[in-house]
Order: sequence, then C-alpha cells, then structure tokens
Amino acid sequence: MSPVFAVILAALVLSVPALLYVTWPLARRRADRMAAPDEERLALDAERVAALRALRELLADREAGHLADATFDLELERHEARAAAVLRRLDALGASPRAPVGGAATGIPAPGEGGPTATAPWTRRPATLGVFALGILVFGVALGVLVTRFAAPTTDGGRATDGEPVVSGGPPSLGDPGRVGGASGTARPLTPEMLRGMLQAARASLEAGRYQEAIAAYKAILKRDPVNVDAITHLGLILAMAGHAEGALEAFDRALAIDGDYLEALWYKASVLADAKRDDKAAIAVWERFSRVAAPGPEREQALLRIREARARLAAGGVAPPAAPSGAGDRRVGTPGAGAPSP
Amino acid sequence: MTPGVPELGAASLVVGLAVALVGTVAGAGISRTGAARWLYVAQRAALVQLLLVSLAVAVLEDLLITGDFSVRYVAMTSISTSPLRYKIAGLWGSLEGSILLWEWLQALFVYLVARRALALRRELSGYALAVLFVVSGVFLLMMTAVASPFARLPAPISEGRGLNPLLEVTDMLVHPLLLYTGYVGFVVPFAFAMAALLAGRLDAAWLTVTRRWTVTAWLFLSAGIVYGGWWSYRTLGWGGYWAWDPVENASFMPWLMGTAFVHSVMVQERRPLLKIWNLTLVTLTFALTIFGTFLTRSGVIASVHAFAGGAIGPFLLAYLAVILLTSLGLLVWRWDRLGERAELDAVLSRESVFLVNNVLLVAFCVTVFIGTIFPLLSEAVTGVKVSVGTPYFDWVSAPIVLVTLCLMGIGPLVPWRHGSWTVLGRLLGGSALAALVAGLATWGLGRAAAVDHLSLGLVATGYVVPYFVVAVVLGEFWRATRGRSRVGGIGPGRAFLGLLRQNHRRYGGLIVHLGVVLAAIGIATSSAGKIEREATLERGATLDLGRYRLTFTGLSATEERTHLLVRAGIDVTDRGRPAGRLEPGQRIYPGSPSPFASVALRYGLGHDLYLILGAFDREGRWVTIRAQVHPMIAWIWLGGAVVILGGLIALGPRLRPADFAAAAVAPAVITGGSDAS
Repeated sequence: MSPVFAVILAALVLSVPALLYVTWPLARRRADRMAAPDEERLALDAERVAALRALRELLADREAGHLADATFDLELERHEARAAAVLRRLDALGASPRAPVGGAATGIPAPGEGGPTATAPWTRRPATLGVFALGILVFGVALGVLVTRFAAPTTDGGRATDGEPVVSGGPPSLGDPGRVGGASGTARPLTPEMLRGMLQAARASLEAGRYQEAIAAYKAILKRDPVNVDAITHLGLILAMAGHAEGALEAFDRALAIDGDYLEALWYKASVLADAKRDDKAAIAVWERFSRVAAPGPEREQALLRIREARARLAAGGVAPPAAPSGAGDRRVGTPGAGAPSP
Repeated sequence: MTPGVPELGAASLVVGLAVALVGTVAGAGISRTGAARWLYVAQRAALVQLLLVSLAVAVLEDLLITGDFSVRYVAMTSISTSPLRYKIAGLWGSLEGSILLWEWLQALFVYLVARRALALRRELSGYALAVLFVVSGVFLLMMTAVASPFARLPAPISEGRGLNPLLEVTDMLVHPLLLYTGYVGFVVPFAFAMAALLAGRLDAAWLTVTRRWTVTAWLFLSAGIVYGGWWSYRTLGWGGYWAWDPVENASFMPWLMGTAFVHSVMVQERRPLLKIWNLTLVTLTFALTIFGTFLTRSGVIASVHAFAGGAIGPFLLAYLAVILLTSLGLLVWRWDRLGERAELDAVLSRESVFLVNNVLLVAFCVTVFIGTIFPLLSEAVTGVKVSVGTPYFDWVSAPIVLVTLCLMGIGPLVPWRHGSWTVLGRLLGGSALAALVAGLATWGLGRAAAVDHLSLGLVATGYVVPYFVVAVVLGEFWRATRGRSRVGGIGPGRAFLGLLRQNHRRYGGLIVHLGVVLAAIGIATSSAGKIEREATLERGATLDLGRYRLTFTGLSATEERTHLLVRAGIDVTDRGRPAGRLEPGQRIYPGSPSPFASVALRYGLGHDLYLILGAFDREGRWVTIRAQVHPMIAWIWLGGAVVILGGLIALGPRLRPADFAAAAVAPAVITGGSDAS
C-alpha cells in the first residue's frame, strides 16, 4: 500500500466519526434561537464593568492626589450618572428578561460626551496637524539618512538550512575596497572610536558564528577604511573557513601588502598554506617571518612548533594528517576566534 | 516502505482541515442566524480539531523519540544518541514541526474561546470563531499542502542529523514555547476585531472580551523575548543578548505594536475614542506575527533562528497579503460606523499621553521594520543585498526609548479627560528632584569609585530618566497606600495589598513600568560599562581584568553523550580573595565544522564575570581566554521578571457584581460624604 493511499484511508476512517460528532447538533430539529435579551444583558454587563473601572481609576487618582477637588466632583458626578443609567437598564432587564429594551444595545454615552463641541478641538486645528505632519516628515528623513548610512553591501548568497547558522554558499568576495568606497560616495571617514567599535562588533559576530553579519560588518569597515588590515584579514579567515583557500590567500596577501608584519595575516596565511594547500615549504617561510616579528611568548613558540612539525613532514615526504576533532579548538584556520594571536 | 504511524499523523491533519471548514461555517452561522445548534457545532468542531492536532503532535513526538528516520522531518531534527528532552524539543526544532506546534496552540485557543462562546455576545463570538477556524485552517492547509511534518524520505536512512548543537540546551524547552504562545495569543484579539467589523458592533465590547487574552499574549511574548536574550547571553558565547538579528526583530515588532495596543485599549474602554486606531493596531500586531513566521521560515534570511525555505515562503506571503487586504477592506466597509463620538478634552489628559506613547511605539516599530526589510527590498530592487548594521537600530531606538520612559513617568500622574498643570507640576517636581539628586549621587559615587564608564551623559540618560520613573511609581504607591490607610483606618500593609486587589490593572501596570525601568538601567549600564580582555595564557599564567585576577590551571576534556566537552580551569580571585573556579569550554560535535562555546559565568547583581574559551593547545599547555565584565546586566533579567509579575497582577481576578456596589459606595467614604452628594 502506498503512503498516499494509506493517508487517504486513514483520513476516511478518522473523518467519519469526527464529522458525524461535529455536525450532529444540526440533525436535531429543536427550535433553538438564542435569547435576544441575553445579548442586551451582556452588553450592559460590559458597560457596568467599564463604569466600575472608571470609578476605580477616579478614586485612585483622587487617592494619589492627581485631581483637584473641583475636577474630582465633576468627574464623580459624571461617572455616578453613567453607573446609575447602566444599573437602571440592568434592573429593567432583570424584571422582565424577554422585554425589549429600547435604544442601542451598547454604548450608553456619559453625560456631556457624544456630540461635537462648538469650537474645534486642538486635535482638529490645521496648525496642530501641520506640526504633526512636519514631525513625521522629519522622522522619515532621519530614518532614510540613518538607514542609508548604516547599510553596507554584502555578498549574502546563502540560504538558511534547517535550524543551522549559515556560512555563505558562495565565497564572500573581497571586492575592491578602494573602488567600493569611491564609487558609492556615501562612505564617510570613521573616528578611531567608531572604527574600534565596528571591528569589535565584527569580531564578536565572527566568533559567535554569525558569518553573514561578520562579513557585512567587515565590508562596512572596508567601505570607509579600504586599507584596514584587520578587516581584510578576517574576511580572508572567513573565506578560509568556507573552504575558499585561494581567495583567503589573496586576502592575506593584500593585508600583508599593506602591513607586511601584520601577525594575524601571517599566522592565517601560514595555516592555510599548511592545512588547506598542503604546501609546507611556503608555510614554513611565512611562519619563520611570523616568529621573527612576534614578541617572545606562546604565539612565537607555537609558530616554531608548527615549523618543526612541517619540517618533519617534509623530511618524511608525507602530507599532514587531517585535523582530529579534539584539535578543532587548536590554532587552526577552521576555528572562529581561535589562533588569533594577540599582536 | 510499509505505511504506518506517519500516515496516521498526516491523515489527522487532513481531517482537521475539514473540521476547521465546518467550524468556519458554524461560526458564521452563529452570528447570522443566532441558532444554538451552530454554536454546538462550532464547539464540537473546536474540540475535535484540538484532538486531531493533538494526535498529530503525539504521532510526531513518537516518531522523534523512537527515531523513525524514514520520515524526513525526523531525519533532519533527531538523532538516536540525543537525550530524550532534545528529541521532544525536536518538535519545534525545525520548520514543519514548529508549524505543527503553532497550529496546536491555535487549536487550543480556538477551543478555549469556543467554550466561553455562550457567555459572549452572539454576533461577536460567532464571527470570531469563524475567523479563528479560518486562521487555524490556513495552518492545517500549509501542513497538508506544502510543509508536511510526516513526509517520507525516498529511502530511510540509518541515523538522523539531530538538532543544531546551539539548540541542544535546556532553554530550548522554554524559550520557543513562551514565544509561540505569545505570537499565537494575538490571534484571539485579532479574531474579535475582525468579528466586530463583520458584525458592525464597533463599541468597546470586543476589547473588553479580549483584554485578558491580549495581556496574556503580551506577557508570554515579553517573557519569550527576555528569556531569549538570557539564553543568547549564556549560550552563544559572544557576551551579548540582543543583536538586532532579523528574527529577533520579528519578535520585537509585534511586541512593540502589542504594547501600543495594550495602552490604547484603555482609552477606548473608557470613551469612544481611537476605534480605528485600535482595530489597526491589533491587525498589524497579528500581521507582524505572521510576518515573523514568514521571515523565519521563508529562507529569505540567514540566522541562527531561521529555517530553510521552500514553497512555504510564497504561501505565507500570500496569507499575509490576504490578512492585510481583508482587514483593510473591512475597515473601509465599516468606515461610516467608525466615526469618533468624542474628542480629546484637553492636551493634558491621560488619553493624550497614551496617544503620544502609541505614536512613539508605532514609530519605533516602523524603524525596526525598515531596518529589517531594507536588505530584502534592496535585493529585490537593485539585486544587491545590503545589511543594516546595529548602529542604525541603536541610533533610532535611543531617543524613542528615552522619550517613552519620560512618558512612563508622566502618564500615571495625569488623570483621564483633563489634568491640572499645577497638580502635575507639584507631583512631577518631587519626583524629578528626587531623580536628579539620585543621579548626582550615582555620578559622585561612580567618580569616587573610579568607574570609568559613568560619564555625565550616561548618568543623565541612563539613570536620571529611569530614576524619575521609579520615583513616580514609588510615589504613586506611597500616596495611594497612605490615603487608603488613613481613610480606612488600616495598616499600610493591608492598605497596599488592598490597592493591588482593588485596582490591579493600574498598580499591576505600574509594576510593569518598574520592571521596564530596571531593564533599561541594566541595558544602559551593561552597554556602556562592559570591559573585556583577551589573552593567551600558559598554565599558571594570570590575566587581570578590573578587580579580578584569572589564573589558568589546566585543561580537561569529557566525553558527553553527543559531543566532546573541553574545559579550561580558571581560578578566580576577586580583589585578592579567592572567588572560586570557572571552567569556560568548547563543545565539539563530530558532524559540525566548528566548535560551540560553553560559557563560564559568575553572576552578580552588580556585575557578571563572563569567560569564553577561544583556542587551546591539545596538550593543555596554553589557552586563549576572552574575559568580560558586564556591569548590572542581571538587572535586565530582573526587570523582565518584574514585568511578568506586574503583568500577572494586572491580569488579576475578574470583577464581581459586589465590587460594583463597593466602588459605588467608596466615593462617599473617600470624600467624607460631602462631595459625593
């Protein structure tokens, strides 16, 4: 039996008792109009509750000292009159449940409420409306300015998978930062504080695995600061993590062309060369440069260790083994935030 | 492949759809004919629909727990090694299952409304039930036609993929349920609003009927959002709780609109004002929940919250269009009956304050909406996808939030209809002075303690304004308690409890304001005063961060059921005194290319110490640690809890006839019998 046929069969079996049970009341012939006065009573009940709430609010305002005595007296009179009207109508319903009650079923207007007032209220004055319109216009313009200011191109070609964060399906190309900044005409120079903040935000996104956000943030930085080595390097890192080794190396080279001693670019380039390209010879050269530039400390020790490992592999004539799961947190390119030396 | 349990689940959804159609007809029948038999049919349809959808839920849970990997959904979200709780959570861990949960909640709400239908006005309850069955039917149709949770794979596989590791935390059992209940809850006020339009009964009755539903939905949504922030903070390992992610925004937008609605409802309940506004607000709130569903499930955005797309995207978009066009059509149709019968009496009145508050909240929602959809629009129009950065949201939200906070302080002091500038000035003066003094004290103490981030600007915006609201709220409680205590001759404790009992809406609302202010202080302080350092530490090396010294003592690894957990031991000293040990770690899943953070946290009301393990040496010789101190971040969660408490008080018990008599007598007591005559 095919699954489709099984669904149809099961649906038939379920539907017969279900629909019979649901529609059974229709088969009964009893006269069953709902009682009209109940509608009336329900409406008045709602009015009664509203009147009670209004009274309570009034008393609370009085207790808290919000109301002048004269205002309280005036309001109290109004609310009491409204409450009395509701109660009278409810009493009338109670005496004769089926007796028709005149007037609208709902909305007993409070005394003094209802008809238009003689003079136009402030809400209808052209000047007030003009001020509101101007306010909305200013708000709209401000929004437009802000949204264009903080919008940055992204190369999001990816789509979400089931419940998983997504790294772009296509490589997040670096583009030509200089050209992007020049062509758009909207990029403004950043203050060092803003730049630092943007870099921190981008780094936070990257380390949290929100790659699209990180790419967008780094792109936004490059738009305003096309020679920002940190942004170029980390875009390279994202490319490397997405498996685009060539693009990543291009990015690291671009960063190193700007700052030949930039430690993070050196580290990541060496890692990509060794781990992805299996080019231990080139990786050793980069690590050697890293160890010359880096201050004494664990980073340099780590670089020297990687050089020794690579040399051993070269001597053995083999290739590097794939990374074991426990090394996922090791200083390898595939780990966001990992292996980023503190220059 | 032998058909079996999955086909039973699919069939129950098909029959559920048929029952929803019958329910729709019955709902319309109640309003059109007033015949009781239609009411019984609708009630039975609601019950049967709930049972059928419950059967589908039970079937899917059974498949997830037993691991039937011939079903596509099970293969995508479950794995045999996963603990039972995460197998259960798989129900809402991916697209089709989450829609099933959504529909189950809808079916539950339809049933609850149908049960009470006899106590409601016939015209309203009938059409409302019809709308509810239509909404329910749309989701059943979606699962039957384009997103079946019971679809089979062409060939069964031996093992499933399991949940996204980020979701394998206990919070997964709480946050989505809170959020979904909040989202779905807004369907009830929406249905009654549409019913009011269909029936032409445009007085405040539909608002009175749905007030508790609205507040309940709002409370669940608030709780879901705050809980989500807390989860993100503790789990994702980036030290933040809100990133203006499109899906976060998708939950925030209905919350903003719902908050505006909760306030504007109070105006129409008292006076025939804001009818169109309220109908529009509730429609937009509901539409935004569907928009959020579209954003999350259409595949148009990439996010940790997002599911894959497919045919469901166009389906949801069409549904959204139908909602908006139908609502607009009904509004136009009933335009002549929607004319306001009253005007604002004075510029200074609570109605005016609520109106301004509404405009601000809607403006906030619009700004978030624009920032959220701008990338989509840009891609659709120019082909280039852009992203709108966090600074945009921060820049636009800060002034709106500040003004809204000020209104939260002013609003409760202004009476309905018309207030007195003199009285307001007197009441505001005390609170403003208290806030100013408290603000200056905060600044002075901060300077004395060398708290770098405590600038005068931060104190003025992040402290003085919230202090002002706190002063107003406490002043309100104090004045009312004192008044009640004097008049009634009772103790302050009894008087205070009496306040909460007698006027739970007002004072519950004030407590909600207090919670919002606590959260605002937490947000301002934790954003401005966060300090962070990152360092690579060899064993025995230390890292100084503010008053803390962190010492790396060694690395350990444990084999968990689904992953390997690597932890760094960090001994903490606080101002030279031992303060325990923290173990930040990384969770490494076999099938995942990158590890997931396991954050180590030391909570405190003053600040949190937050440690993240970055890189580590396999031999345990060194680790890279990112350490952060988040000042007063706990106040955000505390504020959230106070908001929930206030909301629960505001929900309070229903009014009884006896209360009416008591309130009618009370003015004479309060005024000593003279003014009430």
